[in-house]
Amino acid sequence: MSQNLAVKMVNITKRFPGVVANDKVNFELKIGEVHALLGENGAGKTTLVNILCGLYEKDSGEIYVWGKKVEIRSPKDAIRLGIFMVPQTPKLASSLSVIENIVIGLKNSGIIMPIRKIRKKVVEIRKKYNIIINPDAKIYQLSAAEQKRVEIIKALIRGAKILIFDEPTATLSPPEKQKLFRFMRQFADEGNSVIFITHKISEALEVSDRITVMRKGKVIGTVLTKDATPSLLTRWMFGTNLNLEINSSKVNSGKILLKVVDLWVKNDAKEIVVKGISFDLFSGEILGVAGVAGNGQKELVEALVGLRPVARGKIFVDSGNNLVEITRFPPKIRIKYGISFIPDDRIRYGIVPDMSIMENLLLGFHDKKEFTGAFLLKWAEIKKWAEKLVKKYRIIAPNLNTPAKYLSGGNIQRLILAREMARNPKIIIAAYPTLGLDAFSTQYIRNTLVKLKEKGVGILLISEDLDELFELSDRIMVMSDGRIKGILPKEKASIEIVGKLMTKGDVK
Amino acid sequence: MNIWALTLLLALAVKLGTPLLLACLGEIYSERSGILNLGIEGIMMLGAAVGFAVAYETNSILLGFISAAIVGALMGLIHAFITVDLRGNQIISGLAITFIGIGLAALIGHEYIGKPLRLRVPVLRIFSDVPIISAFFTQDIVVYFAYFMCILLWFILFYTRIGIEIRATGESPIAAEASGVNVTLIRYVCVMLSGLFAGIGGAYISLVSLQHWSDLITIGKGWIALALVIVSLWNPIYALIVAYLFGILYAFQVLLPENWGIDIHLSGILPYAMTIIVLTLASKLKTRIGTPVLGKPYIREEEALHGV
Amino acid sequence: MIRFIIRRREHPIPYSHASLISIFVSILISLAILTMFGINPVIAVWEAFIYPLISGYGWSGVLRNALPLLLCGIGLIIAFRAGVWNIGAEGQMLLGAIVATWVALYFMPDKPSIIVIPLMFVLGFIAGGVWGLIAGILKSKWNVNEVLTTMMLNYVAYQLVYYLVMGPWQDPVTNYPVTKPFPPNACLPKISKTFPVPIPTLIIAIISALFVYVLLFHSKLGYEIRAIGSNPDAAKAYGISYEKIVMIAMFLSGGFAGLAGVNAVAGAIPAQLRRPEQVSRGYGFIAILVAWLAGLHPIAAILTSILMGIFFIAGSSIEIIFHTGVETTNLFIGSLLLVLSVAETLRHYSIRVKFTSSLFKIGKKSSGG
Repeated sequence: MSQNLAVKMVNITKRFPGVVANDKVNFELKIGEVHALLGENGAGKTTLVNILCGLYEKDSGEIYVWGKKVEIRSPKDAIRLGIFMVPQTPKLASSLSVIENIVIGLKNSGIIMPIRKIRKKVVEIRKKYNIIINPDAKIYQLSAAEQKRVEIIKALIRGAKILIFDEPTATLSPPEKQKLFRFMRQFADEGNSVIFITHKISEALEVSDRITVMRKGKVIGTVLTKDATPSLLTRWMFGTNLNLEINSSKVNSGKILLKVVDLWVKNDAKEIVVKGISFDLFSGEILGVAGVAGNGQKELVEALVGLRPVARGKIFVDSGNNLVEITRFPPKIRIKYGISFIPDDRIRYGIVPDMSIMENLLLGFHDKKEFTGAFLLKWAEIKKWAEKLVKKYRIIAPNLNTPAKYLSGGNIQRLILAREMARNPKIIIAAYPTLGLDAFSTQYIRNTLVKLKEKGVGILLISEDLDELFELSDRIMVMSDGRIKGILPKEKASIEIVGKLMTKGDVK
Repeated sequence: MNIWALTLLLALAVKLGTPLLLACLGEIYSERSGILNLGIEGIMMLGAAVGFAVAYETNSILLGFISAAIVGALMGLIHAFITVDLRGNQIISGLAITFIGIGLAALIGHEYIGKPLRLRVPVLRIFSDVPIISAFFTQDIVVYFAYFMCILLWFILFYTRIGIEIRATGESPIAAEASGVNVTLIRYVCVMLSGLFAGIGGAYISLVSLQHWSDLITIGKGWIALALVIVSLWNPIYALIVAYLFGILYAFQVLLPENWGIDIHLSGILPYAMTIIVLTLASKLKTRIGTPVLGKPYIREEEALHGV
Repeated sequence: MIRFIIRRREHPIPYSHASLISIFVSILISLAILTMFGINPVIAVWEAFIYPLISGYGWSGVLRNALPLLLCGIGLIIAFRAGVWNIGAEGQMLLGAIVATWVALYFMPDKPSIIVIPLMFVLGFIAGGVWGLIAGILKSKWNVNEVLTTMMLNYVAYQLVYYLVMGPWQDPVTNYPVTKPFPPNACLPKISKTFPVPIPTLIIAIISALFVYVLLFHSKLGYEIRAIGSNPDAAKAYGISYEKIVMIAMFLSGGFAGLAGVNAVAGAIPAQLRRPEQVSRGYGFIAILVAWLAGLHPIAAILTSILMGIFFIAGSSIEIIFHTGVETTNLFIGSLLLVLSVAETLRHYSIRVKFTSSLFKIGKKSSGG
């Protein structure tokens, strides 16, 4: 084995029920390099690094770190070897402070909490890498970018030599993304190593030394970044030269379907996170909401759908000729007014995992006259209707009685989409609808949204994927710190402008 | 009511509240680490029975308490094994422990029904001339033990690394484990602590308060302690206040029928009704942030999966 | 070093297999504990299980226990399906019993059976339902832990019954904590003197089981209950009212327990209200087992309630023969719950124990896992 290898993974295989997530994967990480692991969602990248970090156990294969064969059975083993992951969603204890989160699990720090020592170290790191953070802030008060910084500091204090970033840019604004790339470069140049997971070809090309592409659980190839081209990488990622462009036309009819006036909403910790938002959603448009997650988008969506009470302000919906106020209406009534919800956390808000596909399609329809008599459900009719939907939206499953939890992410989203489309909605609130989906399903969802828009539906699209927003939206609304920083028509918007509007103003 | 009568009432309240406090303290740690131990009532009964039996046979109150603590910790160990390593359902396992505890307690206590314990419990008197204060400082040493443990456990939980790790484990076990914390070990220790303290709390009733054994010796104090854990917002210092407030309730119960002619069974409703009321108030007050996540088995791969 | 490796199974083990294995294992555990206390397990099994059943005298006892267990059990199935942990069936039973006693002795002491008996059941249902509804309201509006509230309400109900039978309702001719016996028109007719199973209860219980089955799987309300119980977040998002469902579920759950309470007094011999533990007899807790072993399915509950009825008789026999107290039944409930607490997880996940050198499976064998 060559002397300059930090990590060597040989023939790694990992199975989950129904799928082989990693199929005899070979992967090498050199000392001093930034290595991009590129692939679409579901390719197996996260599985591979989770094995390296001790979160998963491999079924077979070998791992060598610094030339020695090792067994990594838990995160503790990985940490001992200097391997740290900065996860896609932060794994921090929300009610504890930054210092407290850094301290847990720290060896040799004594029983009493050594606040002073940790603070000193945080200051050192701040100077060295230019990472700004308030050590006493509670995690739930921090933005996603700041939480990522906490994860990084945790790793550095524990002497990380191998850092793994899992899709880090999803929750960062453009300036913050640049900061992160600069940090990766600096870290690697000091003799450490970085694995950078992404599904964006542009990012892989921007910051890495080498790129490994995975598809459907297998490694397709590894190439030096300076020799790689977008078309090569696309071919490796998808097997073909996929054209992912969307064609959409402007259809805005000028009719207001949803009107939000001076909305204020509290989060679970009873703090105000939506601060006086006002906007209109027109028929025949996609209004994209840009903004790093954690700036109140989740609470805004929940308030619009009826899952969270409004502290102040009003919400109006079009009902034929005039606007009706629905601020205090429960979800049931809002559905009757034509509001449809595609949630970001599909498993939690979109389906009842233990119920069958047929029963899931029924959600929200269960008191329609065609399906219920006075008391009893008419399963025969429901079954016919469900079969039609499954066929139309190509939901792949053994049969109608399969519990929804056994469906793949893409099929779950199709189920949700099928159900919501069957409502003939006037307004769709779609939160991160393509998150975690493979390219095929992603394309399908985006095309469906555009088609709906062209039929006159008004769509509020919340997404962290700026590329997706620019492709699909007619107007882009930028949210930051619970407020609207600007609403721009597509022609006037660019990455720079939107990036500037997204940040809270503390980027150095 | 003059001040000395009030002092006597408070002293009685402390005595009656101590078993609640002890059970509460242990369960706070268990729940802070993320495991709900509904078996407290059963463990208290078992501690009462075992403690009484050992003390009766050996004529040593200390051995009684120690054996109750050990048995309690063992019951906690069973619950921990089922919920932590086998990922079993916490509610059902807790109920199971309750029934097993009650059953075993009755089996053990069977031959001691009606037999009184004639052993002296050491008492420590400080400030015995000062009204009100003396209520807290002329008590048996187990009460002082409870004071001490309360402060110690509070300090550990909020000001030491171990305490932070416990709180992190309860809030997000995956976050704790990703930082290198041994979630399994912490949960085992915390659940065994809840059993240990419940055992001591139960033994207090049979060895100190009543000094005899009967089938109904704990009459729901374990369940009330579970409610008080929530009311105390999982904070040992608040637990002390809340436990003694309930002690006052129990003290009233003793006094009421004589003073105000209320049937003893009707006044017996008071602690339970009060528990419901207080629990409701606390539930309205607590926010979701900072409350430990209970009842969910921790399966590392699934937690890691849901991050994506 | 011991390690536990947990893997999700390809195909979960069906409920029926899991239930049978659980029962078997828990019997072994209970017998082991009894042996430790000096009871010969072989004699215990013979005297408690086999003899009463083959001799026939046991069956009326089994049914007399199975009927209230079935009623409480289907009530609990509704609550558990809604995601509400109703531990208060004991108290809900007692409220039903209290109201039935009131009807029989004070409200309608001299009306004919055709009026009194249905009235007892209707009011008993409502009384138990209201008792359950209290916890339901607290949970749905303020998210108050229902395990604790229902348990507290149990204790309140115990105290109420004590108060009544030792105070205003105590039979003046005795010193015992019992009420006067019910007049004959308020006593439930039995199948026969040698097979004293109350007829109305038998009919009501079977119909209730069928009714709840139709309710849960073929009605709109049942669909909403199952959705809320399985994933309240998604159910709420698509129009189902969490508050409404939780309250209805708790009312129904308490109601069925109330019916069992009516049976406990009006079907007893002699029919009267007595000490609470002799009225509810732990049925409220054993019904948890009835519900769980049945996989929360009302028709399967008919079988599991009979099974638990058998165990109840067995436990009582052991208590009588070996002079133990209620402990034996408690031990059995406890060990079965213990096994069940793991069974549900083991249905979906296989757990292997690994020592550093050897490897053996303690999870159940499955085709894929």
